[in-house]
Amino acid sequence: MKTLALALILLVIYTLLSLHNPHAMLSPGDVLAGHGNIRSDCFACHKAFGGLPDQKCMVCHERDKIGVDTSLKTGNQPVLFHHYLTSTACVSCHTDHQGTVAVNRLAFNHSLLPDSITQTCVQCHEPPADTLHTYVSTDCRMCHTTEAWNAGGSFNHDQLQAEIMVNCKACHRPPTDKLHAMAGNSCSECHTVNQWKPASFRHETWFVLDNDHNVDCLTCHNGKSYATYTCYGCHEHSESNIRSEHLEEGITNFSQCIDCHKSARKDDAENKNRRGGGESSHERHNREHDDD
Amino acid sequence: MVSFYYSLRKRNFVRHGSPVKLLQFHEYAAWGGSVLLIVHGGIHFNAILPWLALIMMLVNVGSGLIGKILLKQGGGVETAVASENMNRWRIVHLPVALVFAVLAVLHIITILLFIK
Repeated sequence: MKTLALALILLVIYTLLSLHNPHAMLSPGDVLAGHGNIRSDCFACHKAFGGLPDQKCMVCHERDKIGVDTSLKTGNQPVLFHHYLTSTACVSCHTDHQGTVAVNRLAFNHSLLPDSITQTCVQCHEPPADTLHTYVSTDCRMCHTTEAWNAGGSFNHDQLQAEIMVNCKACHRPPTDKLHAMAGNSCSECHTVNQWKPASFRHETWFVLDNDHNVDCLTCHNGKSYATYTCYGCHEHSESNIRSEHLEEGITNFSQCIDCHKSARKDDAENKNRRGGGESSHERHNREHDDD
Repeated sequence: MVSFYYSLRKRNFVRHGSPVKLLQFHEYAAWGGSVLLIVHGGIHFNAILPWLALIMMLVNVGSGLIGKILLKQGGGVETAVASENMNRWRIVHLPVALVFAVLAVLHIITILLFIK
Protein backbone atom coordinates (compact mmCIF):
# COMPACT_ATOMS: atom_id res chain seq x y z
CA MET A 1 0.00 0.00 0.00
CA LYS A 2 2.84 2.32 0.91
CA THR A 3 4.47 1.50 -2.40
CA LEU A 4 1.36 2.41 -4.35
CA ALA A 5 1.10 5.64 -2.44
CA LEU A 6 4.68 6.38 -3.36
CA ALA A 7 3.88 5.79 -7.03
CA LEU A 8 0.91 8.09 -6.83
CA ILE A 9 2.94 10.83 -5.16
CA LEU A 10 5.57 10.50 -7.88
CA LEU A 11 2.96 10.84 -10.59
CA VAL A 12 1.58 14.01 -9.03
CA ILE A 13 5.04 15.54 -8.60
CA TYR A 14 6.02 14.71 -12.12
CA THR A 15 2.79 16.07 -13.57
CA LEU A 16 3.20 19.34 -11.69
CA LEU A 17 6.79 19.68 -12.84
CA SER A 18 5.79 19.01 -16.43
CA LEU A 19 3.06 21.60 -16.31
CA HIS A 20 5.40 24.12 -14.72
CA ASN A 21 8.26 23.61 -17.16
CA PRO A 22 7.25 21.29 -20.00
CA HIS A 23 10.24 22.19 -22.16
CA ALA A 24 12.83 21.10 -19.60
CA MET A 25 10.92 18.02 -18.55
CA LEU A 26 9.83 16.69 -21.92
CA SER A 27 11.42 18.43 -24.88
CA PRO A 28 13.96 16.36 -26.83
CA GLY A 29 15.87 19.53 -27.78
CA ASP A 30 15.65 23.26 -28.20
CA VAL A 31 13.32 24.63 -30.84
CA LEU A 32 14.32 26.88 -33.71
CA ALA A 33 14.84 30.52 -32.84
CA GLY A 34 11.82 31.40 -34.95
CA HIS A 35 9.69 29.13 -32.80
CA GLY A 36 10.94 30.69 -29.58
CA ASN A 37 7.57 32.26 -28.86
CA ILE A 38 5.89 28.83 -28.70
CA ARG A 39 8.80 27.12 -26.95
CA SER A 40 6.72 26.03 -23.97
CA ASP A 41 3.47 25.58 -25.84
CA CYS A 42 3.87 21.99 -27.00
CA PHE A 43 0.40 21.79 -28.45
CA ALA A 44 0.95 24.75 -30.74
CA CYS A 45 2.53 22.19 -33.07
CA HIS A 46 1.69 18.80 -31.55
CA LYS A 47 -1.73 17.25 -31.42
CA ALA A 48 -2.09 15.00 -28.37
CA PHE A 49 -1.57 11.42 -29.56
CA GLY A 50 -2.15 12.76 -33.09
CA GLY A 51 1.29 13.62 -34.42
CA LEU A 52 2.12 16.88 -36.16
CA PRO A 53 -0.72 17.81 -38.49
CA ASP A 54 0.05 20.29 -41.25
CA GLN A 55 -2.82 22.46 -40.12
CA LYS A 56 -0.89 23.30 -36.98
CA CYS A 57 2.05 24.55 -39.06
CA MET A 58 -0.18 26.51 -41.39
CA VAL A 59 -1.67 28.51 -38.58
CA CYS A 60 1.51 30.57 -38.90
CA HIS A 61 2.98 29.42 -42.22
CA GLU A 62 0.58 29.90 -45.09
CA ARG A 63 1.56 27.46 -47.82
CA ASP A 64 1.37 29.98 -50.66
CA LYS A 65 3.54 32.51 -48.88
CA ILE A 66 6.34 30.23 -47.74
CA GLY A 67 9.59 31.58 -49.15
CA VAL A 68 8.44 35.15 -49.69
CA ASP A 69 9.98 36.49 -46.51
CA THR A 70 13.18 34.56 -47.10
CA SER A 71 13.49 35.97 -50.60
CA LEU A 72 12.94 39.48 -49.34
CA LYS A 73 15.73 39.05 -46.81
CA THR A 74 18.21 37.65 -49.32
CA GLY A 75 17.19 39.95 -52.15
CA ASN A 76 16.73 37.01 -54.51
CA GLN A 77 13.77 36.48 -56.77
CA PRO A 78 11.29 34.39 -54.77
CA VAL A 79 10.95 30.81 -55.92
CA LEU A 80 7.67 29.66 -54.52
CA PHE A 81 6.94 25.98 -54.72
CA HIS A 82 5.21 24.97 -51.50
CA HIS A 83 1.80 25.45 -53.08
CA TYR A 84 2.64 22.44 -55.30
CA LEU A 85 3.18 20.24 -52.26
CA THR A 86 -0.41 19.70 -51.25
CA SER A 87 -0.02 15.99 -50.58
CA THR A 88 3.27 16.20 -48.71
CA ALA A 89 3.39 16.56 -44.95
CA CYS A 90 5.48 19.45 -43.63
CA VAL A 91 7.46 17.07 -41.42
CA SER A 92 8.57 15.12 -44.49
CA CYS A 93 11.16 17.84 -45.03
CA HIS A 94 11.09 20.04 -41.94
CA THR A 95 11.85 19.16 -38.37
CA ASP A 96 12.54 20.92 -35.11
CA HIS A 97 14.00 20.31 -31.66
CA GLN A 98 17.45 20.11 -33.29
CA GLY A 99 18.66 23.39 -31.78
CA THR A 100 17.93 27.05 -32.35
CA VAL A 101 19.73 27.07 -35.70
CA ALA A 102 18.21 25.10 -38.57
CA VAL A 103 20.13 21.96 -39.47
CA ASN A 104 19.33 20.33 -42.78
CA ARG A 105 19.78 16.66 -42.10
CA LEU A 106 17.57 15.49 -44.91
CA ALA A 107 18.54 16.00 -48.52
CA PHE A 108 16.09 18.22 -50.31
CA ASN A 109 13.80 16.07 -52.40
CA HIS A 110 13.83 17.78 -55.79
CA SER A 111 11.31 15.33 -57.18
CA LEU A 112 8.66 17.28 -55.28
CA LEU A 113 9.24 20.23 -57.57
CA PRO A 114 7.65 20.78 -60.97
CA ASP A 115 9.88 20.66 -64.07
CA SER A 116 9.59 24.40 -64.55
CA ILE A 117 11.67 24.84 -61.41
CA THR A 118 14.05 21.89 -61.60
CA GLN A 119 15.15 22.83 -65.12
CA THR A 120 16.43 26.19 -63.98
CA CYS A 121 18.76 25.50 -61.11
CA VAL A 122 19.93 29.08 -60.76
CA GLN A 123 16.49 30.09 -59.61
CA CYS A 124 17.38 28.66 -56.24
CA HIS A 125 21.11 27.92 -56.38
CA GLU A 126 23.79 30.50 -56.85
CA PRO A 127 26.30 29.22 -59.39
CA PRO A 128 29.89 28.90 -58.15
CA ALA A 129 32.07 31.87 -58.95
CA ASP A 130 35.23 29.85 -59.55
CA THR A 131 37.14 29.89 -62.82
CA LEU A 132 35.87 26.54 -64.04
CA HIS A 133 32.24 27.53 -63.82
CA THR A 134 32.82 30.66 -65.90
CA TYR A 135 33.92 28.44 -68.79
CA VAL A 136 31.17 25.86 -68.78
CA SER A 137 27.66 26.09 -70.07
CA THR A 138 24.77 27.24 -67.91
CA ASP A 139 23.12 23.84 -68.01
CA CYS A 140 24.16 22.57 -64.59
CA ARG A 141 22.63 19.15 -65.28
CA MET A 142 25.42 18.27 -67.66
CA CYS A 143 27.60 17.63 -64.61
CA HIS A 144 25.36 17.75 -61.56
CA THR A 145 22.23 15.95 -60.51
CA THR A 146 19.63 16.83 -57.93
CA GLU A 147 20.84 13.91 -55.84
CA ALA A 148 24.52 14.80 -55.76
CA TRP A 149 26.80 17.67 -56.64
CA ASN A 150 29.25 15.26 -58.22
CA ALA A 151 27.14 13.08 -60.41
CA GLY A 152 29.95 10.64 -61.05
CA GLY A 153 31.52 9.84 -64.36
CA SER A 154 33.99 12.04 -66.10
CA PHE A 155 33.73 15.72 -66.81
CA ASN A 156 32.15 16.37 -70.17
CA HIS A 157 34.67 18.60 -71.96
CA ASP A 158 32.37 19.03 -74.93
CA GLN A 159 30.52 21.79 -73.13
CA LEU A 160 33.62 23.96 -72.86
CA GLN A 161 34.09 27.03 -74.95
CA ALA A 162 36.37 26.39 -77.91
CA GLU A 163 39.16 28.68 -76.77
CA ILE A 164 39.21 27.02 -73.36
CA MET A 165 39.15 23.55 -74.86
CA VAL A 166 42.64 24.10 -76.29
CA ASN A 167 43.95 25.79 -73.17
CA CYS A 168 44.10 22.95 -70.70
CA LYS A 169 46.08 25.02 -68.23
CA ALA A 170 43.05 27.22 -67.72
CA CYS A 171 41.68 24.49 -65.48
CA HIS A 172 44.39 21.86 -65.00
CA ARG A 173 47.64 22.46 -63.22
CA PRO A 174 50.37 20.94 -65.36
CA PRO A 175 52.75 18.46 -63.73
CA THR A 176 55.99 20.03 -62.66
CA ASP A 177 58.33 17.29 -63.81
CA LYS A 178 60.82 18.06 -66.55
CA LEU A 179 59.13 15.98 -69.19
CA HIS A 180 55.95 18.01 -68.86
CA ALA A 181 57.87 21.24 -68.60
CA MET A 182 59.07 20.53 -72.14
CA ALA A 183 55.59 19.87 -73.42
CA GLY A 184 54.38 23.43 -73.16
CA ASN A 185 50.69 23.79 -73.79
CA SER A 186 50.35 20.88 -76.17
CA CYS A 187 48.77 18.47 -73.69
CA SER A 188 46.56 16.91 -76.34
CA GLU A 189 49.58 15.43 -78.09
CA CYS A 190 49.72 12.83 -75.34
CA HIS A 191 46.52 13.09 -73.31
CA THR A 192 42.85 12.99 -74.16
CA VAL A 193 39.95 14.67 -72.42
CA ASN A 194 38.55 11.29 -71.44
CA GLN A 195 41.28 10.37 -69.03
CA TRP A 196 44.75 11.34 -67.95
CA LYS A 197 46.13 7.85 -68.46
CA PRO A 198 46.99 6.15 -70.66
CA ALA A 199 48.76 9.04 -72.24
CA SER A 200 49.55 8.68 -75.91
CA PHE A 201 53.11 9.94 -75.78
CA ARG A 202 54.71 8.97 -79.11
CA HIS A 203 58.42 8.57 -78.76
CA GLU A 204 58.70 7.81 -82.49
CA THR A 205 57.95 11.46 -83.15
CA TRP A 206 61.54 12.03 -82.10
CA PHE A 207 63.12 8.60 -82.43
CA VAL A 208 61.82 5.12 -83.13
CA LEU A 209 62.55 2.67 -80.35
CA ASP A 210 63.02 -0.46 -82.43
CA ASN A 211 64.57 -3.71 -81.31
CA ASP A 212 68.08 -2.27 -81.32
CA HIS A 213 66.93 0.63 -79.19
CA ASN A 214 64.58 -1.07 -76.77
CA VAL A 215 66.60 0.08 -73.79
CA ASP A 216 66.16 1.78 -70.48
CA CYS A 217 65.38 5.51 -70.71
CA LEU A 218 68.56 6.37 -68.86
CA THR A 219 70.71 4.80 -71.57
CA CYS A 220 69.96 7.80 -73.77
CA HIS A 221 68.51 10.31 -71.31
CA ASN A 222 71.27 10.28 -68.75
CA GLY A 223 70.97 13.90 -67.85
CA LYS A 224 68.41 15.57 -65.64
CA SER A 225 65.97 16.25 -68.43
CA TYR A 226 64.26 14.25 -71.13
CA ALA A 227 65.03 17.16 -73.44
CA THR A 228 68.63 16.05 -73.60
CA TYR A 229 69.96 12.75 -74.77
CA THR A 230 73.10 11.04 -75.90
CA CYS A 231 73.66 8.37 -78.52
CA TYR A 232 76.96 7.38 -76.97
CA GLY A 233 75.32 5.56 -74.11
CA CYS A 234 75.80 2.12 -75.65
CA HIS A 235 78.75 0.29 -77.06
CA GLU A 236 77.53 0.57 -80.66
CA HIS A 237 78.09 4.27 -81.01
CA SER A 238 81.33 5.65 -79.71
CA GLU A 239 81.97 9.33 -80.00
CA SER A 240 85.25 8.86 -81.82
CA ASN A 241 83.78 6.45 -84.31
CA ILE A 242 80.81 8.72 -85.11
CA ARG A 243 83.06 11.70 -85.43
CA SER A 244 85.41 10.05 -87.88
CA GLU A 245 82.60 8.67 -90.03
CA HIS A 246 80.87 12.05 -90.29
CA LEU A 247 84.01 14.05 -90.87
CA GLU A 248 84.94 11.65 -93.61
CA GLU A 249 81.76 12.77 -95.37
CA GLY A 250 82.37 16.39 -94.63
CA ILE A 251 79.65 16.57 -92.01
CA THR A 252 80.84 18.74 -89.21
CA ASN A 253 77.62 19.40 -87.37
CA PHE A 254 76.56 16.06 -85.96
CA SER A 255 75.82 17.00 -82.36
CA GLN A 256 72.04 16.51 -82.71
CA CYS A 257 71.76 12.98 -84.09
CA ILE A 258 67.97 12.92 -84.26
CA ASP A 259 67.92 15.90 -86.59
CA CYS A 260 68.88 13.43 -89.32
CA HIS A 261 68.47 9.98 -87.77
CA LYS A 262 64.90 9.32 -86.66
CA SER A 263 65.40 5.60 -86.27
CA ALA A 264 67.98 2.87 -86.65
CA ARG A 265 67.30 2.86 -90.38
CA LYS A 266 70.34 4.21 -92.11
CA ASP A 267 68.42 5.87 -94.93
CA ASP A 268 66.67 8.32 -92.60
CA ALA A 269 69.27 11.02 -93.14
CA GLU A 270 69.18 10.47 -96.88
CA ASN A 271 65.42 10.79 -97.08
CA LYS A 272 65.45 13.86 -94.96
CA ASN A 273 67.91 15.65 -97.18
CA ARG A 274 66.13 14.50 -100.31
CA ARG A 275 62.93 16.07 -99.09
CA GLY A 276 64.93 19.23 -98.55
CA GLY A 277 66.13 19.08 -102.24
CA GLY A 278 69.46 18.09 -103.84
CA GLU A 279 72.06 15.66 -102.66
CA SER A 280 74.43 16.79 -100.03
CA SER A 281 77.60 15.28 -98.74
CA HIS A 282 75.50 14.19 -95.82
CA GLU A 283 73.25 12.17 -98.13
CA ARG A 284 76.17 10.64 -99.86
CA HIS A 285 77.65 9.68 -96.57
CA ASN A 286 74.52 7.96 -95.45
CA ARG A 287 74.01 6.09 -98.69
CA GLU A 288 77.53 4.80 -98.71
CA HIS A 289 77.25 3.93 -95.11
CA ASP A 290 74.18 1.81 -95.92
CA ASP A 291 76.15 -0.11 -98.50
CA ASP A 292 78.81 -1.06 -96.00
CA MET B 1 8.83 -6.14 -18.09
CA VAL B 2 9.28 -9.92 -18.34
CA SER B 3 11.68 -9.91 -15.41
CA PHE B 4 8.77 -8.64 -13.32
CA TYR B 5 7.19 -12.09 -13.60
CA TYR B 6 9.54 -13.30 -10.85
CA SER B 7 8.23 -10.59 -8.51
CA LEU B 8 4.68 -11.69 -9.20
CA ARG B 9 5.62 -15.34 -8.58
CA LYS B 10 7.41 -14.42 -5.38
CA ARG B 11 4.26 -12.79 -4.08
CA ASN B 12 2.06 -15.63 -5.28
CA PHE B 13 0.15 -13.50 -7.77
CA VAL B 14 1.03 -16.28 -10.20
CA ARG B 15 1.84 -19.88 -9.35
CA HIS B 16 3.58 -21.22 -12.40
CA GLY B 17 7.38 -21.67 -12.46
CA SER B 18 10.21 -22.54 -10.08
CA PRO B 19 11.20 -19.49 -7.96
CA VAL B 20 14.88 -20.43 -8.20
CA LYS B 21 14.84 -20.63 -11.98
CA LEU B 22 12.65 -17.55 -12.21
CA LEU B 23 15.15 -15.65 -10.05
CA GLN B 24 17.90 -16.52 -12.56
CA PHE B 25 15.63 -15.44 -15.38
CA HIS B 26 14.85 -12.24 -13.43
CA GLU B 27 18.58 -11.44 -13.27
CA TYR B 28 19.33 -12.17 -16.91
CA ALA B 29 16.25 -10.30 -18.12
CA ALA B 30 17.14 -7.29 -15.94
CA TRP B 31 20.66 -7.20 -17.36
CA GLY B 32 19.44 -7.59 -20.93
CA GLY B 33 16.77 -4.93 -20.56
CA SER B 34 19.19 -2.50 -18.96
CA VAL B 35 21.72 -2.88 -21.73
CA LEU B 36 19.02 -2.37 -24.36
CA LEU B 37 17.80 0.76 -22.60
CA ILE B 38 21.31 2.21 -22.41
CA VAL B 39 21.71 1.60 -26.15
CA HIS B 40 18.27 3.15 -26.73
CA GLY B 41 19.21 6.18 -24.61
CA GLY B 42 22.42 6.82 -26.53
CA ILE B 43 24.19 10.05 -25.76
CA HIS B 44 21.38 12.55 -25.66
CA PHE B 45 21.23 15.36 -23.17
CA ASN B 46 17.74 16.64 -23.68
CA ALA B 47 14.64 16.30 -21.53
CA ILE B 48 14.86 15.53 -17.83
CA LEU B 49 12.28 12.73 -17.78
CA PRO B 50 14.17 10.09 -19.78
CA TRP B 51 17.30 10.88 -17.79
CA LEU B 52 15.44 10.37 -14.53
CA ALA B 53 14.15 7.07 -15.87
CA LEU B 54 17.65 6.02 -16.92
CA ILE B 55 19.13 6.99 -13.56
CA MET B 56 16.44 5.06 -11.73
CA MET B 57 17.14 2.07 -13.92
CA LEU B 58 20.80 2.16 -12.86
CA VAL B 59 19.78 2.53 -9.21
CA ASN B 60 17.47 -0.43 -9.70
CA VAL B 61 20.26 -2.54 -11.15
CA GLY B 62 22.51 -1.54 -8.25
CA SER B 63 19.80 -2.50 -5.80
CA GLY B 64 19.42 -5.85 -7.53
CA LEU B 65 23.14 -6.52 -7.23
CA ILE B 66 22.99 -5.80 -3.50
CA GLY B 67 20.15 -8.31 -3.27
CA LYS B 68 22.28 -10.88 -5.05
CA ILE B 69 25.12 -10.34 -2.59
CA LEU B 70 22.76 -10.80 0.34
CA LEU B 71 21.43 -13.97 -1.25
CA LYS B 72 24.95 -15.35 -1.72
CA GLN B 73 25.66 -14.72 1.92
CA GLY B 74 22.77 -17.06 2.61
CA GLY B 75 24.37 -19.83 0.55
CA GLY B 76 22.89 -19.15 -2.86
CA VAL B 77 19.27 -19.73 -1.93
CA GLU B 78 16.94 -17.78 0.23
CA THR B 79 17.56 -19.58 3.49
CA ALA B 80 16.14 -18.67 6.84
CA VAL B 81 19.50 -17.14 7.78
CA ALA B 82 19.35 -14.66 4.92
CA SER B 83 15.63 -14.22 5.06
CA GLU B 84 15.65 -11.31 7.49
CA ASN B 85 18.22 -9.36 5.52
CA MET B 86 16.39 -10.09 2.29
CA ASN B 87 13.12 -8.86 3.74
CA ARG B 88 14.77 -5.61 4.78
CA TRP B 89 16.32 -5.25 1.35
CA ARG B 90 12.97 -5.77 -0.37
CA ILE B 91 11.59 -2.78 1.48
CA VAL B 92 13.99 -0.71 -0.63
CA HIS B 93 14.18 -2.71 -3.85
CA LEU B 94 10.49 -2.79 -4.60
CA PRO B 95 9.91 0.99 -4.35
CA VAL B 96 13.04 1.62 -6.38
CA ALA B 97 11.73 -0.71 -9.09
CA LEU B 98 8.35 0.96 -8.91
CA VAL B 99 9.81 4.46 -9.31
CA PHE B 100 11.74 3.25 -12.32
CA ALA B 101 8.61 1.67 -13.77
CA VAL B 102 6.55 4.81 -13.25
CA LEU B 103 9.16 7.03 -14.89
CA ALA B 104 9.59 4.60 -17.80
CA VAL B 105 5.84 4.41 -18.38
CA LEU B 106 5.57 8.20 -18.20
CA HIS B 107 8.35 8.45 -20.75
CA ILE B 108 6.50 6.11 -23.08
CA ILE B 109 3.24 7.99 -22.63
CA THR B 110 4.86 11.35 -23.38
CA ILE B 111 6.48 9.94 -26.50
CA LEU B 112 3.08 8.73 -27.72
CA LEU B 113 1.58 12.06 -26.73
CA PHE B 114 3.98 14.05 -28.89
CA ILE B 115 4.83 11.47 -31.52
CA LYS B 116 5.26 12.78 -35.05
